[in-house]
Amino acid sequence: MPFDFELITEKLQKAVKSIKSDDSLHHERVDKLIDFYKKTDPQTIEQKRNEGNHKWLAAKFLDNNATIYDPKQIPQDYRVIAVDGSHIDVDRHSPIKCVVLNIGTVIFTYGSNPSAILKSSPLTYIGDSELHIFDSNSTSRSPLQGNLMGVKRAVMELSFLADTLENYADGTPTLALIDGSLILWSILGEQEYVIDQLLQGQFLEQLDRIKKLSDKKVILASYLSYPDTSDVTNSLRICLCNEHCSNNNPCKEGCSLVSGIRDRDIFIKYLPDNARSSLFQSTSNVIEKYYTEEYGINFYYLNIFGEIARIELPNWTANNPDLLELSHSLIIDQCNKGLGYPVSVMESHEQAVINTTDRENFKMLLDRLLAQQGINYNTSQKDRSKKYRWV
Amino acid sequence: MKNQNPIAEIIESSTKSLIVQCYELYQAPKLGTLIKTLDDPSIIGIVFNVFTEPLDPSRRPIARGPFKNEPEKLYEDNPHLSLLFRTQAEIFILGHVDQLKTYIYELPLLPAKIHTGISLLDEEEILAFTNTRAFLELLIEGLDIITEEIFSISIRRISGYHNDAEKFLHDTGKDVAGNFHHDQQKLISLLRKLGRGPINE
Amino acid sequence: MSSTEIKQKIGTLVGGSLSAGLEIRLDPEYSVENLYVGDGITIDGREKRYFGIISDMLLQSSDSSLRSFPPSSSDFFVTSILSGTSAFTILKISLQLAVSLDSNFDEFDQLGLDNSSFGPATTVPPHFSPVYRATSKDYTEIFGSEDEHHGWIGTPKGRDEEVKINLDLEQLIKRSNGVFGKTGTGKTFLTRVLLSEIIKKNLGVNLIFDMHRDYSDSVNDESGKKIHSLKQLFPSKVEVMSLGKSFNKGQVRPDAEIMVSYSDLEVQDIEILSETLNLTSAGLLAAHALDRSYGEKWLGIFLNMEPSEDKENINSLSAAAERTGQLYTVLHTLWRRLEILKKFEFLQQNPAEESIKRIFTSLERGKHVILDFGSHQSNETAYILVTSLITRRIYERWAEQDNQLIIAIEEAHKFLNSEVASQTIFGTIAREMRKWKVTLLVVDQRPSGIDAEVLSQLGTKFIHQLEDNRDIDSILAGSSRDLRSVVSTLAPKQQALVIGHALPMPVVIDVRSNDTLTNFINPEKTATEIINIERDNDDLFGEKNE
Repeated sequence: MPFDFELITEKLQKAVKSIKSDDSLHHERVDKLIDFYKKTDPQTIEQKRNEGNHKWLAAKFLDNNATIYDPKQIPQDYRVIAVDGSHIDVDRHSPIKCVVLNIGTVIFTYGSNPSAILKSSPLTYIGDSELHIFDSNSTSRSPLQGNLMGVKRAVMELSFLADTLENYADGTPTLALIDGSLILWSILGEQEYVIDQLLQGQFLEQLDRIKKLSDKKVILASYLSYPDTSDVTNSLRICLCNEHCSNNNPCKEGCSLVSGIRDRDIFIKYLPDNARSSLFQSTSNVIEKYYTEEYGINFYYLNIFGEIARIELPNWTANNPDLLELSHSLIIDQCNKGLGYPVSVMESHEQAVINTTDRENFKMLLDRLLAQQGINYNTSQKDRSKKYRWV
Repeated sequence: MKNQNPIAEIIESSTKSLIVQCYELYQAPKLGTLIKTLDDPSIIGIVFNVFTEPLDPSRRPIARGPFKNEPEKLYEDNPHLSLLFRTQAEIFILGHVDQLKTYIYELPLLPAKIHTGISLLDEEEILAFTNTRAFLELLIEGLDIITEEIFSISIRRISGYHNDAEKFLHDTGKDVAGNFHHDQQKLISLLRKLGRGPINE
Repeated sequence: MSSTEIKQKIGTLVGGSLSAGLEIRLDPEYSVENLYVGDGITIDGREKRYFGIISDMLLQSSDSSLRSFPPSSSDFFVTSILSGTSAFTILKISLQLAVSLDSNFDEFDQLGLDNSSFGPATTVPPHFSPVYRATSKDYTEIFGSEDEHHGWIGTPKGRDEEVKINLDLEQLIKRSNGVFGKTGTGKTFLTRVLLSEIIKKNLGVNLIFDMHRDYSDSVNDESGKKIHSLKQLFPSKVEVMSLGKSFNKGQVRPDAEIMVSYSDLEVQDIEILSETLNLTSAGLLAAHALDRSYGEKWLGIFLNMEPSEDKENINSLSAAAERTGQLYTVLHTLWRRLEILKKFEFLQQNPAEESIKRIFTSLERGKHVILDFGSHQSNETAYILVTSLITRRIYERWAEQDNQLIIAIEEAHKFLNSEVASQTIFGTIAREMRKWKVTLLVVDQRPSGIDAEVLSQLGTKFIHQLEDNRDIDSILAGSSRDLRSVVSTLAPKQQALVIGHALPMPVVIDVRSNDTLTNFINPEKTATEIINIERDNDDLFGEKNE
């Protein structure tokens, strides 16, 4: 049935009005927070963070506070390799269970010998054995679908990235870009054996392959546009908050001040165009528990075309000032070419995407193959009722 | 077997016309040139439209300028762009080769196969194909589709291969005149175009 | 005649009618400037072959917008393509003859059909029949070759000299004929050809009233070449007689001198002179009265009367007035106007019957007679008077003759206009052509002045350039109306459209040059020598008359 808009509109209107009135207060609070950030030194923040028994995800401040870094000149010759993935999920109703994962890879070379390669590589996972993670110690198994399929996808993206980097790394500064984050958030909540196999086994193995190429000027980074993250404001909050506050009675100086303010709100206010913030380190549980110190992930924020983006780097890259510098300027260049978004990430996404027509064609292919073998399958009633929408 | 190097590939095919995708971006056969399909029976046609469009029709190009440098630098600075577009040409069919290897100035009974390559006719083939007035029949019939501008460009190109280019243009003008009784002004404008003389490049 | 002359297709039959002319669409490759009105064409139908002449040319276009917005004439590419395709020429054809094709078409050209198998076209060829320019061979087939009955009079306009148009002289002299054209277009030129052919082939006998000494003496043409007189060409066959004692130095002596007596003149002769002498109708009535009253010699008596009102004087006009019942003033006017006749020294009181007898005798013996008017050359009155009188006398006597007599007169409209045509001898001759083997050959520059009925009785007309529309209309009245353009596009000299019984179909000819009129004998020889040679020829080949 169509939406009954009348019932919803009223509540939306009220909410929109309150945003507007909150706006000016919001600006004042952000300014205050920035002031605090600028005048507080990182050690103080770090100390407070370690002491506290808060549960917030708070970033470790590595740099001098509030330093602004402008991008430097990019080298004449450089390369970008970006990877993205997309998948067709399992059809519950089909007698043949399969998943198609499409990895899009792009390799752009700039400078004296410009060239470009666009490709997509489909991977199929068919049948029970391929579509589950099995616990070797018990009969437990987890199906590769939904969230877990997303994790598997992230692993395969990194794997393709590593493959390509190994083929192309030749000393030319090479930016290896991934959309989103280097931190495998979605693995939290999965079974231990899953985490063990997928993260510690496969994901970190790929990271390691890439790490080995760092002397060949390979810069691994992830790009997240308009991030919702608050690990920097959370650290500031820890400093400001007194320990007696609660949700029902938030402290004025700390939590009320910081409430609703995200990292991007702060940095957009004082980072000029194309400049980056100082470096931070992620203290996510995933990293502390599973990545270990060897594969720590650092990050900084960047002002691109009036919008904040979060760039994550593995620590071996962030610790190398040249590579850190290159990550900044090369990403800026990619965003210029992509009119606000890294063109390589955009194109790798285009290569990965499986559009509706392709999805339907795939389904028809399956149907035809089944029919050729004489297997006539009927979808479930629910499926049919969704598909045909009859009166 | 001369000139067998394909420069483009058929991606749409009918008995009246073809659409081919050129192997090199922006490298298409010129308007009004004669091409042949590289299969059996070979089909002969004339290029009447060349266009470039994105490979993915849902991704439309947006303006990137204004440019401080030359626009060609854009392709150098963004090497992936050349991979996102394709240049295509529309071909109007003028005849085909029969089993006896003679030119038949009629439409083929079946369309050419998709993915067949096409190449340009060489000088010998052009002269052989256009040595009789019959080749004009389908060309004149298709004036509405290929437009008078392309018609005159193609005749002017072909005339450059004949010994007496002016006579070729003149004779073609006479043949065309017979088809335009109701619209002399249109005929005059077409004849003026033909009168510009042979094209030799 | 080149046997390798190829038939050149010039167009296709697309419409038209037998009466108004067929319409031919000219082929795009053929230039209209290669053709002219009057040119001969042939059309190949499916069962017949047709012959005609181009009577008109029209420029048309398939789309009227070309008339409103023609391409620029400097745009040569465009105009050269459009002309012949969207803009084309239509030829109008006057269809004349047709001949049935044999079943074997290819043999047609080799059969060498003579002109007896041609008939007038009574049907039309089917649509889209091919049309060709008539070849020399076509002309020869139609017009035949020169023989004892056919004389060569010229070549078709625009063709090479080898194609000869031959006139059927026998047919010609059976009827009266006319040579027409503006002054200076070459009527005398053509007439000389006709007369010499008749003389050469002994087909009849000519009586020529030579007003301007064109035929009796040699003349120089425009380029100064000497053209021989008929007498010089045929010395033994031609006699030149002069009117009166008009004998000039340096001239050839005439064979006879002609005198006319008053009593030879009749009222008819005076009537013909009414316009020239400005006689009133009352005057003419008076003349009739005088005739009735005084008899045959009335004119002589009348002219010798005294212009006195004295009734007592029997020689006075008033006495005559009383006798005849006419008014004195009328008679006086008539008398004064007729006084001019007294000046003519060839006109005498005493009967000069011998002159007319002399002429008759020569004609009877088959000699052609040229009456040279000598010093009276430009005297219209003398010419009309004498011509009329002598013609009448001769005609009256010609009844029992077998030979055809052809009387050639100039200024024909004076003798044959509507007012007098019914009353004069000339009108009679023109109308009753077959009766008494006497026909006219009229030469005139004002055919509109000639009675329409007389014109319609002429067998063959030789039409040179005419300007006056009335003249063109009157000469082409009847079935030849579609040939108007042909007449108006004739060259100013020595080119004529010939239509009539003596030819199978009308044709435009460039008249045969007069210096070709030889007797195959060197004209520089003396007349005596020539006479002797001619006599020998006659002995050898047999003479026709005598």
